[in-house]
Amino acid sequence: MKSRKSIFLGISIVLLLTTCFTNLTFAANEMTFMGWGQPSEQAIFTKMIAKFEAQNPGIKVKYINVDPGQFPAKITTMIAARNVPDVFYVPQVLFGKFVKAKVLLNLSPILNKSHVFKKSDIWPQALTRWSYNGHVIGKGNVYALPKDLGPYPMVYNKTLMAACGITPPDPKIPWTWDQFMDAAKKMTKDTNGDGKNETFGVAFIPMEAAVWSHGGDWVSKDRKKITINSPGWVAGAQFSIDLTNKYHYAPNAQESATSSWWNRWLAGEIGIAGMGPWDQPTFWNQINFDWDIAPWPMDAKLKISRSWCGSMGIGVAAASAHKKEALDLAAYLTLDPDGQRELYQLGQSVPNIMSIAKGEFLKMDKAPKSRFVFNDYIEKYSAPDVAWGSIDTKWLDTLNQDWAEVANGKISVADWVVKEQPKLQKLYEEGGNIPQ
Amino acid sequence: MAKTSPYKRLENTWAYLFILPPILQFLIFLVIPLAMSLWLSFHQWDMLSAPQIIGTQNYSDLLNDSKFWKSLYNTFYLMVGIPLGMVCGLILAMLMNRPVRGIGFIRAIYYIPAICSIVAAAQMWMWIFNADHGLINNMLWSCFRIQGPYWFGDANFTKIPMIIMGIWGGMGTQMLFYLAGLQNIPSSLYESAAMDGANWWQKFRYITLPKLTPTTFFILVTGIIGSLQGMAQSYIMTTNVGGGATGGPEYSAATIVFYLWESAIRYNQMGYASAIAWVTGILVFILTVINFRLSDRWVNYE
Repeated sequence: MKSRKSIFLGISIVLLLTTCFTNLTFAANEMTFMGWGQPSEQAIFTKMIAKFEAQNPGIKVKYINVDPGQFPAKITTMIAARNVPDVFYVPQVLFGKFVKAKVLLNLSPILNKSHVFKKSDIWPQALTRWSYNGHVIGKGNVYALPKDLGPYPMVYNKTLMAACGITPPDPKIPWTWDQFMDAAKKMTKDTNGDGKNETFGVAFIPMEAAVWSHGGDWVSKDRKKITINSPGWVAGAQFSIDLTNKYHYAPNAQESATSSWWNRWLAGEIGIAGMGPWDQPTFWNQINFDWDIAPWPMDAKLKISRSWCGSMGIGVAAASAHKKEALDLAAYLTLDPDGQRELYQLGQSVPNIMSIAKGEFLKMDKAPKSRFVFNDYIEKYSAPDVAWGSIDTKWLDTLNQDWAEVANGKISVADWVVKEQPKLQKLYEEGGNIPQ
Repeated sequence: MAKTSPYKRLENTWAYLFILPPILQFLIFLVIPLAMSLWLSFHQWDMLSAPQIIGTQNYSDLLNDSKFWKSLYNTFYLMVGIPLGMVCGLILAMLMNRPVRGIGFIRAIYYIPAICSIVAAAQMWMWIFNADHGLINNMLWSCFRIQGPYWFGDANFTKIPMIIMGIWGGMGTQMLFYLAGLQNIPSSLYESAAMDGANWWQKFRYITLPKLTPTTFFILVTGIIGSLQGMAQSYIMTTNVGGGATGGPEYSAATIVFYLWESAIRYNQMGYASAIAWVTGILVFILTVINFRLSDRWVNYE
């Protein structure tokens, strides 16, 4: 009996100890890097990490890839469990929350001193994007490096335009909306007379392009008020919805459900759409018509051409045990010239380093011909997407959900904003978005 | 009290050791999380900074939260499917309750939806209800010349496919329960009724239905609880490629648990989500108590 008891105790102790210790890593210089990406992008990062390890003997990097949909939940849980990766992607919607909770390392002191890269050679738009002074996002210290900047200019089907007798837009001077609508009308055609359009002039207009060019905005300059009831917002939003519901130059909700704008565009059935640099590989491989990019059109009077430019950050954990190495890795992943070169050659992004973006990137022998528009777009024709600057984006998600009422033609924009603005204002304030 | 013998004490130790794993499991995965979520529901916690106590604010906020009421309304709306499902399950069970050749095979076929992955089933139904290529709209057009609606894009219609899918998915299980109930009814009852000259409707009304009330009650209670916990359908049917689950146009397809998920995972409002969980839990409890109270009036236990 006695011996059986001791065997039992022994086994339980061993089990207990193994469960306790299997989770501990003893590798003193192992760092973790967590992100997501398409397999091609993962391959580049894996290669860059191997190179980084070769240049920094003794440092091991564990690259964790997470499904993008699961990433926010996973990283927040890891932070709550105090098991933060040393280096990780920072989605825009989480940035403010992360800085407030002191999860991210302040990079400004190091950025100003580093000899590895020149701060002046990084897009300033990318660095302000990841700045926060505790009150307003976009000011103060830098808390993440840009993985990339995502310009989203207008892309057009040159072949279809030529067939419809349209002069393509000048990549240096934005079209007016009148020119745009005229072209859209000419390219929207029901060639076999079955009542369904075979080609559409436009896939969509980004809401940002429509609203900003009409002088409107979602949030006031002091970031205290939701301004969707301003004349500019109403005019821009109504314009974007009229394109589909009134003029039918773009596929409506039902037609989009049948075949997405993306498939229609790839098949050459759409004249004008939008594209980010990351779309290049697909366009190179799957499109057999001529295409090029241009800035989104402007209002004839206001002369504003502007749409959204996305970005993803790479941050360093303030709690990292290897701050210096982690920072080196973050800088390497975002600013290493070879890595940047490989990424742009694969058609993943516009280089973060301006001298490369404005130099060899433009000489690349691949469509789009006017690839300088990507750079112009970053510098002249864009602003961060609407979610940027908000600590909590529940108000914006609600706006997008409720927008279905307008999109389905149940109510005009002007009537809709009257009941929507107070609701969103309340959510905006509850989300802690007003700068203190 | 007599002193326990050493043998007895040893036996007791062993007994406790053997029941320790389930007790630990009960504590770690049920009692502690339950207590923590109650505690959290009085706090504001974004998982990043330390929880801050805010008293009952989460609960009072819920009362003024239009999304909460909307998702609660949607959840109750979807319960329309419970009685409809019962009727379908009962009819099916009666059809299956006869000595036909290959009846086992046919029963198995009707049970298949119950074992289908909800993700696959939801995808299939989304295609069936597709506005342009879907079976439903094509049938509506070719048989009645009715232009079917844009089921998942119009707030007035999103719940209908969800209810139908719910009925379809639950029918097999309900059929099985009803079948068991039917086979428990002594045939002597029907024989004596036949001798008294009862027609089939009278047999159904005065023998079958009353004898099946315990089954109906069971399905009702589990159905209501299941509805209040439903979220997978909302999640799958309203997920946009790249955009995540939205809850459908005007939040028309979001259930209360979907809102819980959204608050917790999307907006990191763990305290608020815990409050939703407790309100839902209490609702389930109240409805179940009411059900049991009312059951005395209509459920026949022999």
